[in-house]
Amino acid sequence: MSINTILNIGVSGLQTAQTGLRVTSDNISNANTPGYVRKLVDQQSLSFDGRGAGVDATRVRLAIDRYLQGATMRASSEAARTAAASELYDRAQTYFGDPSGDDNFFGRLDSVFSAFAQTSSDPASAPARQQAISAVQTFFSEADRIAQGIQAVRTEADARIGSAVTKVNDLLKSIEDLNQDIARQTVAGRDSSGAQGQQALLIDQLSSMMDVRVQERPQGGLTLRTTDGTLLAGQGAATLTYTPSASGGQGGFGSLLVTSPGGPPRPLLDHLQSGELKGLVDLRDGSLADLQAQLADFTSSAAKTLNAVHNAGSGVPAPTSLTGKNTGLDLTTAISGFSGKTSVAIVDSSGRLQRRVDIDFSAGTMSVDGGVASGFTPGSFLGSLNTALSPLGSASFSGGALTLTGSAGEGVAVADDPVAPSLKAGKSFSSFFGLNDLVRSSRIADFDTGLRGTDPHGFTTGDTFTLRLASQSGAPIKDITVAVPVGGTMADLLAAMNSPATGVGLFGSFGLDGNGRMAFTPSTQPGASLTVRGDQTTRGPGGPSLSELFGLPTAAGSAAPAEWGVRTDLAADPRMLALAQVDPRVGIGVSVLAVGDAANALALSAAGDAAASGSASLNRRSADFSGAIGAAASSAQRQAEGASAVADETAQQRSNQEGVNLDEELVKLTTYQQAFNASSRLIQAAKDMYDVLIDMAG
Amino acid sequence: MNRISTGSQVGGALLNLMNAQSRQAQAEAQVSSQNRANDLKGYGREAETLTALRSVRVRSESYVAAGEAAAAKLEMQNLALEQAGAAATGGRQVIADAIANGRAEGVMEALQLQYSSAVSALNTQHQGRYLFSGTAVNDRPVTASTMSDLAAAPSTASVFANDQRRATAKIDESTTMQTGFLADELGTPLFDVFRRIQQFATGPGGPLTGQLTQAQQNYLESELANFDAAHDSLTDFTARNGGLQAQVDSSIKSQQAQADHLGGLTDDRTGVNMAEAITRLQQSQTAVQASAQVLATLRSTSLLDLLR
Repeated sequence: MSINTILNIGVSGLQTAQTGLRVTSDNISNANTPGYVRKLVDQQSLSFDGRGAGVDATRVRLAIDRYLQGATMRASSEAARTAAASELYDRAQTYFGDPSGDDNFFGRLDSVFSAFAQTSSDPASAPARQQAISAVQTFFSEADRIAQGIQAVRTEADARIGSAVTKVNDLLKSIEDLNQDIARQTVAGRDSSGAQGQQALLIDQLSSMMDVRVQERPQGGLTLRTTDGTLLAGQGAATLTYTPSASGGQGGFGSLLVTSPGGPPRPLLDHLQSGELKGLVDLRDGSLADLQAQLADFTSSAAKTLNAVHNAGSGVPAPTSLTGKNTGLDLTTAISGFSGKTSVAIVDSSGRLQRRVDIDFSAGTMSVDGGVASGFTPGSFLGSLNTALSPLGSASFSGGALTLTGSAGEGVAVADDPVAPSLKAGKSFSSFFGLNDLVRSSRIADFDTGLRGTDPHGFTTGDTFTLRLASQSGAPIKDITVAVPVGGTMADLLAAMNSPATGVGLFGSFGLDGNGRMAFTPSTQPGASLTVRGDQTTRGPGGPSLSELFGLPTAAGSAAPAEWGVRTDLAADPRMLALAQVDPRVGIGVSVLAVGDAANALALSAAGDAAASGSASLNRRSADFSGAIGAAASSAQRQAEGASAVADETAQQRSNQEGVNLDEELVKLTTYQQAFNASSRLIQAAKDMYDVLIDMAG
Repeated sequence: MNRISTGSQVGGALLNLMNAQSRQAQAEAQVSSQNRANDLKGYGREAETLTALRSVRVRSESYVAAGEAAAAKLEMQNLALEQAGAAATGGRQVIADAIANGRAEGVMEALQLQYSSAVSALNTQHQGRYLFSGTAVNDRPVTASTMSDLAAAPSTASVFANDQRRATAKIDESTTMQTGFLADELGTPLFDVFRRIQQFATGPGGPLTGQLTQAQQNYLESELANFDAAHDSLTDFTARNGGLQAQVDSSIKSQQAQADHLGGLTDDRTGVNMAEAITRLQQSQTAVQASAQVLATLRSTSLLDLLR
């Protein structure tokens, strides 16, 4: 027991009070820092030899509540995910216009049909025809513009993924650096709360990018993992790699990889459940890709419906030639499989029938001007037709397209038999070959090829194509290269594609439906998704590849979009608009076409309500589509609002628990100040006692 | 113990203020535009109903337009048919007068006038297209402009250049009516009479000048009944035309009513209830003021002012 002991005890009191004041002043000055966790001082009394020896500030710790921290991180990941998805989807849906106004996309389809209704009142009127043509062109241009707009939003999502990845990498590196600082301080027994506080702020930022969970390390610092366990920080920082598409997504989008410390690069998407990255990827590859695919499907149906009706009519005077579209097939394969009857008519410029060739596909015969029927086969079809038409007309086939031409001064028209119309893959003869299409696309867009298992596939043996199978989240599983087999039919080709050894057999199978459309069905639901990565096949010289012919999904995620437009020669000459119909049963020399005939104009104006077998009418699909987009957009917004409300609420609770309360800190300030005063009074008393002793001795 | 941090106290009040302001902005937008929303997202699933309503309304409006175009055409047809009917009556009168006077001076000239009137009636155009030539709307339906041309032609049928397809109009969902008549069906009975008289006058029985012979008188009396028959046939067509006109008028009215009704349904769905919207606007303005007041009060509740 000495005065020195009293002095030392007083000093320990002073130092502890000073530590407390330092921590309190730190808290007060950071009262408004968002995400700041207040610090607490742990005091402990010291004892030496069984006797009390003062006080020590053992530890400065953060008032972290791990449970609230976890809840806030989950909520903010979810809020960031839904906000990213909702904001960009909102942008995409505005392209479709205001449904309560007159200028929205779906209203343009209505304008097409009402413009055709107007032509039916006066089919000879050139302005009415011109207006109908412009209404059609406007509808398809608008569809194109919207498709490009959606692609632009996808590209923006892609760019944001790229910048988010850069940010995540920086955050992970900083967190790992702080881990090392904290470990150093902890091992030396010093105060590491400043670094811990900074780390907590960085982790909060990271949790809005991707969902993470934290664990404390025994040596101080934190281990970060994704919710399903992939290591991100704690034993070295993981890095994410991603390259945004430079071509606006035309060649598809890149894949997100994570390289854990000491491990190989792996796809990240399978491990992400929430956060802005997941929201952006889901939007880019899921909801927006689906929207684009639905838009393309809707536009194709509209084009197909209008073309089917337009092919049933003829312009007045009948055009000199009817040039078909590229079917991607050879003539023999294209002609086989037709049933029913059709007639090719040569009509002079005053609308009188000059030659009629009745083709009966079911019976395989052709007759001229109602005369004796002569047989033909798919192989001899072109030759027989030429013989039947000459010298007033001719037929030719090149580049996958059939062309019917009338000789000088004659026009040509095609009309189906009203009782037994021609049919293959759901289309008439004229619309299968696109002889009198209203709108054409820049590439093959009708994937009902009409090919059956027994038809020759037409591709060259040994040519290859590469298919990529990917998981639900888009992470690639396997690339499979298939070679065109030696056997020559579609069935042989499908068998090669479905082989478990050399094809996709383990993941699903390809099938050909009744209309010749090829589709991939995964073997489990949900299963792998399939895209075409490379295709070296061609169907005949200059022909389409397998993926082009059947519209298999490309790297961009869906079949490459077709740009539709009114046929250029029709747009230049409105007289070619097929508003009239030819009756194929009249005799030679009778008038079959006159400029006042509005029969096909009426059919075109009613095309919107005509229900194709087994599927809804175009107007019905238009309403459904608009409702689906509206519902998806408003549901995304509601989800985002809900998640944001939850995130705000949890952040509020956490802040209440961990944040600085100025009143509390002021009280502590006063308390520590008094403790400091008291300790210094104690030291003063000890000093006085010393003085008394020294006075006594001196 | 329930703990509150200073930062979140103010932060919470600020958040409330901002939410109140955002609701106020929404309410203002609704009041000024009078629409509930202005994109597909704002209407949600209801966009499907709006799209469907709009396409039915546009279709009704196009039926109205088609009906009005058909009505104008039928009116022109009505005038032309009446003119042709008058030519039949006129022709009969000329013959009746000649029989009554027993003299044929000026009969052929008078008949030619009536014939020209009938021809011009059948060649009537509406908006530049011939009414009675079927679908060959740019071809003049009657090619013989004088009675001598008519008599010189191989047959009555050969002077008619119309084709056999009639004009049609779709005036509602289920009605496609044939609005056209063909020059040959209208004119053949009347033109037969003119042709026979012309052939008689230029043949062995003629010429018809001066005093009528008994044979000529008998012949002309027989043609009186034929003029009557021709007139009746034309009156019949006029009545049919009138029937079509009545049908078209009634269809226009009902399609217009349907279009108006659909427009009303659409407005009901898209328009905002003004009373509700203005109330919401006032409420949100009050909420903004209240939040601002809370913030002001928070400022003065702190130990800082008390611990000196």
